[in-house]
Amino acid sequence: MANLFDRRLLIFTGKGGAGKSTVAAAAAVAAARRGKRVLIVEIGDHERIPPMFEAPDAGYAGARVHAGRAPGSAPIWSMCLTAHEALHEFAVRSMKFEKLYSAVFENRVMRQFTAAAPGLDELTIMGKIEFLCREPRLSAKGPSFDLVIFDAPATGHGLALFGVPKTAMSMTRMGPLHAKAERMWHLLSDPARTALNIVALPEEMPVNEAIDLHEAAEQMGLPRGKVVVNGVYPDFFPDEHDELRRMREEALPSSSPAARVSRAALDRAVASAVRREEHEHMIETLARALPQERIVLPWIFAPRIGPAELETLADGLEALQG
Amino acid sequence: MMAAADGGVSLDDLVRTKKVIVCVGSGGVGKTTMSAAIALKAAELGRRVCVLTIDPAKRLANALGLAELGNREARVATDRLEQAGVEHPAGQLWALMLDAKRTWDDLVRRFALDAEQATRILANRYYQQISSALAGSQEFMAMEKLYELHESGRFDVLVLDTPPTRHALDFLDAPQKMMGFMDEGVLKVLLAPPRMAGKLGFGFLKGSTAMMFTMLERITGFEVLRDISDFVRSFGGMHAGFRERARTVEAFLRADGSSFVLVTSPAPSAVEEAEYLFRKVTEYRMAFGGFIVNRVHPDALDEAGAGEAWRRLKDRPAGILESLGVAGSLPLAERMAENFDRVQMLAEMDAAQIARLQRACPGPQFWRTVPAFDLDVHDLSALARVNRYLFAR
Repeated sequence: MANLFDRRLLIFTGKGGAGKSTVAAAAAVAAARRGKRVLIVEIGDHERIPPMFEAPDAGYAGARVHAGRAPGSAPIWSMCLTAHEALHEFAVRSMKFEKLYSAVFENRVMRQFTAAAPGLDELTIMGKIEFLCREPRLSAKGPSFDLVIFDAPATGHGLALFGVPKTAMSMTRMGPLHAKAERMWHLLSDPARTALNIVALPEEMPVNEAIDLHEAAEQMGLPRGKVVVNGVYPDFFPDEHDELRRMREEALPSSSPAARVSRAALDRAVASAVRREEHEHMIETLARALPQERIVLPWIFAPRIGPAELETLADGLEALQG
Repeated sequence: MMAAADGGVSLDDLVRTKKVIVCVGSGGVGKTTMSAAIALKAAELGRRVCVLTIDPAKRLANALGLAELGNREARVATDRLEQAGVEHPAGQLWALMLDAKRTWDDLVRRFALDAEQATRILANRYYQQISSALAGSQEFMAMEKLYELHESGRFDVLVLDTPPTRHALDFLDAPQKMMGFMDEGVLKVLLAPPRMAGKLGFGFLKGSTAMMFTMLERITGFEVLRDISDFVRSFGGMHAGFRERARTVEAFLRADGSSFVLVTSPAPSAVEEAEYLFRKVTEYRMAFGGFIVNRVHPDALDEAGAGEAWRRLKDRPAGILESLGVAGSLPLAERMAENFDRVQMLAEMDAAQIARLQRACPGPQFWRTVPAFDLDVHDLSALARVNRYLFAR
């Protein structure tokens, strides 16, 4: 597969809690190491990306979160996209006058309508993503970037988001909105510019959801990226799973604190072995079901994801290159 | 271990007495599993229970071992319940995965003045898009379905599994938003044929409304407006019914019979989302039951003397094998010691996160913890195992 870092838009989606934001941030670090200037886009009212870089919230205006001082590397920017602010920006841009915006969008009737109209938020968000890929800078005079990494919403809402341009196209047939929606869809469906990456945990339900997501994405015609299996438990006892189980059969009943802690050590060893086996089994299930290449990322034994952990994960994500 | 209740109600009380239990939380914390486990407990107590999920993925189906969940509730077979040790003669467990499109259609058919109006709405392009393709309508419809099942009188308690946190606002706002969409003001504007409204705007409507149309035409093109306008017009006479419905659903969620349960894992990102969601539920003044912290690594050193005993064993890992009375190699014992410390670190991280969450969310709610199991929970017996931690024995 061609180098994914050469595209314009890398989307990361998957089941909630699978680590989409972490993987998106680590992918940005991997791309920045290759000298790509990256903008990470996340959605919502609670920023997850900047804290991983130990940077303050970037807001809708966006901010640099990673300096990229190492030779050959580039900085990383992040922004937090909300439909409300994107709609405001879009309306002001297309109407030229702020006053007109207030007249129209601060109108009570209109406000109720835009708050309730299903799909408008999604369309606005996709519109902004497309605009960022076409005009890749945060402000008129700001620095430009090469790659947009989109930390997309979880499976169901993510698919609704990617489906909205086509919906808008079928609803309008022609006119300016149709043209805009078409431009969004051309970007989303273009394998030269875009790749949809699926993030999964090696557990039964996330794996099932990843498989469903893959099928839905194929049906929609979204270009395949990679499948990233996140949080894979290490094998601390590569050849001793059976021996640990035998020990658990034979162990004496625990009577003293030392015996009880020893028993806990044995139980934890068996639990680690079982967890590892389960993870391997799930990776195989994914491999059988999905055609795309898998990237396996290790379980991180740390209280939270910071710059050091992102570097470790970025090592694994070097595989996005080829 | 945490107390079952700190002055408030326990999860046991909720399952015995409430009519609706809403499980909220961020993605990947086991919300679907907890909803299913709570429902299983209600059936065990002899209640007729239905668990609903509005998550687009078929996770509840997995958790319940049902091959396919449609928009209609399906009953879990009695013999499958018995296999999981649930044997109350009156207890019934039902499950349903919401199909937003079908719920919309049912609602239109119910409120339409006649069959002709229903047909016209169901055929409208705008209707077809909002009812099936677009997000957000799912949240509207979850509320609707919940209410419909409640009204049917066929269930003693309903357990609702909700979409992930970032959309919790959508979910809690759903009845409000639906009322906004059906608002008379919006209707009046949209009921006027768009071209007329544009032309006559300055004469009959406020300037801002005329501008709104110019703007809408400019950014959307003409056709979409006509579709929406047709859509709203074809709802003529029905919107009063819809609005009344939305109000009733909202009041119903705030009533005594409903309670919210917040599910989280001890992962820092999940705990942050849980704090956020707790504030939201409080802001919305929803009745709050308590917290379930799932996937916790238990502390193995909390017993008196355990810390000291472990320090000695770590210095001489062979002692682990001796204490257990089993044969094994020294390198294996050393790795067992290392592994113990790594997992103990996870346990301490989890405990610190839970303590942080408890500080951030004071109140009389219950706190329950469920350990991280070796294997995924995806059958009824495993759900029964979860319930040993959720409920008093």
